[in-house]
Amino acid sequence: MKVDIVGWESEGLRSPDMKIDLMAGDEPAQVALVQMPNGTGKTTTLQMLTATLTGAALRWRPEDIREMRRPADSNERGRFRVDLRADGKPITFELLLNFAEGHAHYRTTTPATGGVIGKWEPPPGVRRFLTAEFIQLFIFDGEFAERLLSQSSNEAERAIDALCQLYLLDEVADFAIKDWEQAVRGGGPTTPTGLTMALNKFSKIKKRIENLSGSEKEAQQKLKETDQKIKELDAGITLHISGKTDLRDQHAQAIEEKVTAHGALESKLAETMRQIRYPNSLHPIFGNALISLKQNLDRLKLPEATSRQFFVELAEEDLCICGRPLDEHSRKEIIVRSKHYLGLEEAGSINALKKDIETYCGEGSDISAQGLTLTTTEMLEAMKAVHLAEQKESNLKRSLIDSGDEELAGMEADRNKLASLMGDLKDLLDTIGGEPVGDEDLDTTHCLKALRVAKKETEAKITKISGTLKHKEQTDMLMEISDRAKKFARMEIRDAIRDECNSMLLKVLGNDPLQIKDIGESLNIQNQSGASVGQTLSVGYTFLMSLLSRGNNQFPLVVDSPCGSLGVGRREAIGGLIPQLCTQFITFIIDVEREAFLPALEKSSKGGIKYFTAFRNTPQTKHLQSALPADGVTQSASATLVEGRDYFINFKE
Amino acid sequence: MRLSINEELKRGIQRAAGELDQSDKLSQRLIAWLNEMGQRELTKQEHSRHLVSVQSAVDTSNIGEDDES
Repeated sequence: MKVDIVGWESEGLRSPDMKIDLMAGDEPAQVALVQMPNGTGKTTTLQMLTATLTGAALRWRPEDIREMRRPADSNERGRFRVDLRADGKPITFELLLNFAEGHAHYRTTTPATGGVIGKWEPPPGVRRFLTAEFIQLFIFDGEFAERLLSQSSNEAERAIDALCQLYLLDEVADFAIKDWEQAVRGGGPTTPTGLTMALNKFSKIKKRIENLSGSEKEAQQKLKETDQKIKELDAGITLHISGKTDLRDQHAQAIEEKVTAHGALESKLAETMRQIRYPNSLHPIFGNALISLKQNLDRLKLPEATSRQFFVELAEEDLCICGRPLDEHSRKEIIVRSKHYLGLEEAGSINALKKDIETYCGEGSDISAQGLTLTTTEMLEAMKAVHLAEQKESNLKRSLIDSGDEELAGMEADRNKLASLMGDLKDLLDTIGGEPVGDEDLDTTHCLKALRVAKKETEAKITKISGTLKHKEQTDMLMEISDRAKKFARMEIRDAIRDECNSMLLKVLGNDPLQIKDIGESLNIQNQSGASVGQTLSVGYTFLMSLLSRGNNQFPLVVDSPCGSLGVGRREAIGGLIPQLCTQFITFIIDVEREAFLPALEKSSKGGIKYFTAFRNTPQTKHLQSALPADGVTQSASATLVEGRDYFINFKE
Repeated sequence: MRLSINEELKRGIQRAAGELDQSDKLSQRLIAWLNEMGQRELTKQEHSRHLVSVQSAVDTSNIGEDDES
């Protein structure tokens, strides 16, 4: 799917009344630069663009709708229109806001429907790309870049799945399972009672699994976010306390002790777990029993199939393994006696078991019950040390709070709330992801595993009653292939994108190199836990551009403030890269961002550039009115729009 | 004009089918289905035609053996 934005029009909103036409001949210009001074309505334009494309305004509250009217204006209606082309076919969405009544209404125009429909109704093939989640991926700003790097977000994975069409596999699997369900229900009114009951049970379990899976995902996401918030709050608390000069050293020491104590505890825990794996370390009785077992096992024998050849070949040698010459009689004896040393194939495993018992339970073994007792004692000591270190830090905070530090008290209260929420989320996830306890009640259980087992059993029953065994096996196989294929493809795409991004980052961040270590649900940076604003923006750009250039779906990249806090060198590099990596680039820019970025962008662009400058008609912009060019000017009551390069490059707020 | 599905996706399907002892014919048919889905909106009948074609390529003779081992 290739989607282009052909233009948009805004009227009666916070954003200026204007019409932007992005067409350059028969095609939209590859690059469109919309220069708007701060406060002109860039944010509103982006909000309206997103809402018009996604149908989101239907869920807006009356006050959200009224927010879109310019303050102090009294017009009753506002309108935003976006013209698209999807695979060359025109689609128009119009969002009509009624400020008086506080409601939103849509109109959609497509050739397929032969005219205007009085609602938001994208053609079926385009609908999947016009969700808020999807559109947000391509309306790029600093916040999006931050989310790409945030461990509490899965933005990177969503972007990969969306652009590389991995969702198609889900659609295939979904179609296959629905087809089987349809086949099972094919009996219609003559469906046997047993089958109807099983089908009802199946639907109920399926629904519960869907709901619980959703809750699990939501809890996992919330857990990540909460963990991140706690970390940020901890950093804030540390910073706050380090501002108190008299306590700074004590607090730093307490933190250090806490980190050291946690490290020691982790090491002792690992050592205890290692030792617990040996039965004789739990109690000498296990070791003695194992030695007794070894003594009662058969004499060592060799596995026949793999060892017989050894004796056959030995009998063909001139000398025996003891060095004596072999004659015909000895050779025959070797073959005959070899049978005493050859046993069943299990002999190999029994030999290995006997060897392990000798190694780990014999006299030379260093694993003993005393060893575990000692390690356990050390582990308990380490736990005590952690508790003491935490208490020390907590006491410091308590004394500050008691002496009237309101800010710290607030932060501590927030932290406690978050810690409690985190505990609840962990409990919930343990319940959902845990093992079934006895016979779970399928109507009330929160155990996904129990429900999945029940689903499988019910499916088997349905399959048996309805005689659709082969159909079910084919469906299951197709679902398994889809599931595995998605994982494999995602892994390969992640690696390829990481390499592409890293090579681009070397160009963009030449003087301040930063590399992506790996791509999981988010992007992980090599050898550092965070990135500067400029680095974050650069990483976000390179990631999205790599993805846009390799994905089979092509979408416009819409960027608010393309340079942000980027330095001149990085602006040049980014400006040069963008046109090479996306089919349509639309950006909202302010005059100070032009430097270095614009020349590089112009040099690299091959598909034409359109320049727009827009400003509000206010007493403060009166001086701009007097310097307007002869051509390319469109004026409305609220704003002036100028199309053209000369005005654009000379414009100063 | 739309493109065919990603090479990574194709390789993923081939690898998954191979791991599950399924034929190349099955992966080719699944890829053909996805290619068409990626290029245009398919009708229900077209989806069904692809599904039948893919299902008929599934080898069910080995299914269930893993569970018993």
